[in-house]
Amino acid sequence: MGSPDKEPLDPTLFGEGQARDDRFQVVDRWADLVNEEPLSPEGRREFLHRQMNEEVNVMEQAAQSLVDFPDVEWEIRKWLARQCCDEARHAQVYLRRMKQQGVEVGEYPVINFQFRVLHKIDSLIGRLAVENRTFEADGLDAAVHGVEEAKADGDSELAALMDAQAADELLHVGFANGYVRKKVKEDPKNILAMARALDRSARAFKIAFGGGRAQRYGVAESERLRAGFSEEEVRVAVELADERRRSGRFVDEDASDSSGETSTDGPSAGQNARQTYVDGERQL
Amino acid sequence: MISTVRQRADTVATFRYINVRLMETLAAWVPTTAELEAKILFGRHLWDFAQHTDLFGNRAGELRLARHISRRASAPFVAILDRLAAFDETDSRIDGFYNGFLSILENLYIHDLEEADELLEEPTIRIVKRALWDFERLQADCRDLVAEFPQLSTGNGASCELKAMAESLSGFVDFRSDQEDFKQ
Repeated sequence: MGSPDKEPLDPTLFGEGQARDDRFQVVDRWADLVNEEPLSPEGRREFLHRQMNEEVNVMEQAAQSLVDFPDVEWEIRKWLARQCCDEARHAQVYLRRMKQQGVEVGEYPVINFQFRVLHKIDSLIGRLAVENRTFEADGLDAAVHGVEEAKADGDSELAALMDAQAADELLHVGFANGYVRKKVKEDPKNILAMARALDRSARAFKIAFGGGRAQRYGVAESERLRAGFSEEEVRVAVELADERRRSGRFVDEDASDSSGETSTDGPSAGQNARQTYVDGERQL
Repeated sequence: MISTVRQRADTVATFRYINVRLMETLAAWVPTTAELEAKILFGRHLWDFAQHTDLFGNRAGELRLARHISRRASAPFVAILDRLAAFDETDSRIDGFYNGFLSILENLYIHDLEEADELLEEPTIRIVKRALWDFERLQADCRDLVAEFPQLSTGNGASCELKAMAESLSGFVDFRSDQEDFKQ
């Protein structure tokens, strides 16, 4: 396992990987994936495989949080269980689609960045800030965009898949937003745990995703508002997304604050780190 | 058999405890199971046990306990749950969970239905029947999986081991004494 001919990832930022069966080739860095042109026929095949694996990563992460935080409120544990189940369904839907299109499990290498980074974050609020408020929020943007793209392609089945996925992601972002606001209100120092988590993930992101492409789509503003982000948070997200698209870079390799980027391939930890600070200041 | 609200509350809170443990067991298996399709099966099904937990937790609150409170099962029953959670091979996990533990819990639920007063205890009965109904789907999903991946069907005797442990059980609820206040 791991990327060929590369230094192992920093163990202080990346935890142990999850179990994968022999069909998979797991790499550590985005550059070692098969990065076809997204809208090409081969790119579309690879997308299904990559997306399936991302859903599995989020499922594994939600499950791991159930294990790691047995004493948190029942309501949030119930939501984590729901998210785990939703992501499992998503993975099954992508597997079904892969089968229809003749894409084999393990046909392309995969990266398990999400789980490995999240597993090293020691607070639930930190994990939710990174996973749900960042990765899943980006997933929401991607799914909303994907619906329109699939419709334009005349692919009603993929459009339905993306639409259903967007509805689920909205729930996952929403429960995390609710939990984060509640916890920050209870104790404003919780912002620090979030900031630490976001900083860690941004640094890890820079290592694993350096050299990636910029995103092809913007922020799904109305859906983010529906998921409980404030207008200010959405405004900041839009500005940052626009800025990144203009720069054309996936990770700003010159930036000292490790701001990440959003793409169809991965998350943008830095973007939401800034959003979180905005949120935290308002809460304070 | 007529049971007191206090006894029913203890039983319901124990059902909640068992369901939390099942949810946690499946959650622990999700990242540590290599086989993709089995991993996904566990990930989907833990939500069922979360829902049962939720229903029993709410019902506990209706029976003069705090909502969402669990009562640890009797020590021999906890030993069965611990053994289940310790299986580390995927085929043992599948056999132990779906053919072993679910069958044991199914018997507990059926016995509870047989003992319960259908009018006095209807809210609990509805929850138990819902859980039994869900079990049919969970076990059907498992059968579909092992039909597609026969290598996952061996089980290494996991279900037999758990059922043998259950045979010697005299009860699964650690009822409160008359003087005991509820402790989580």
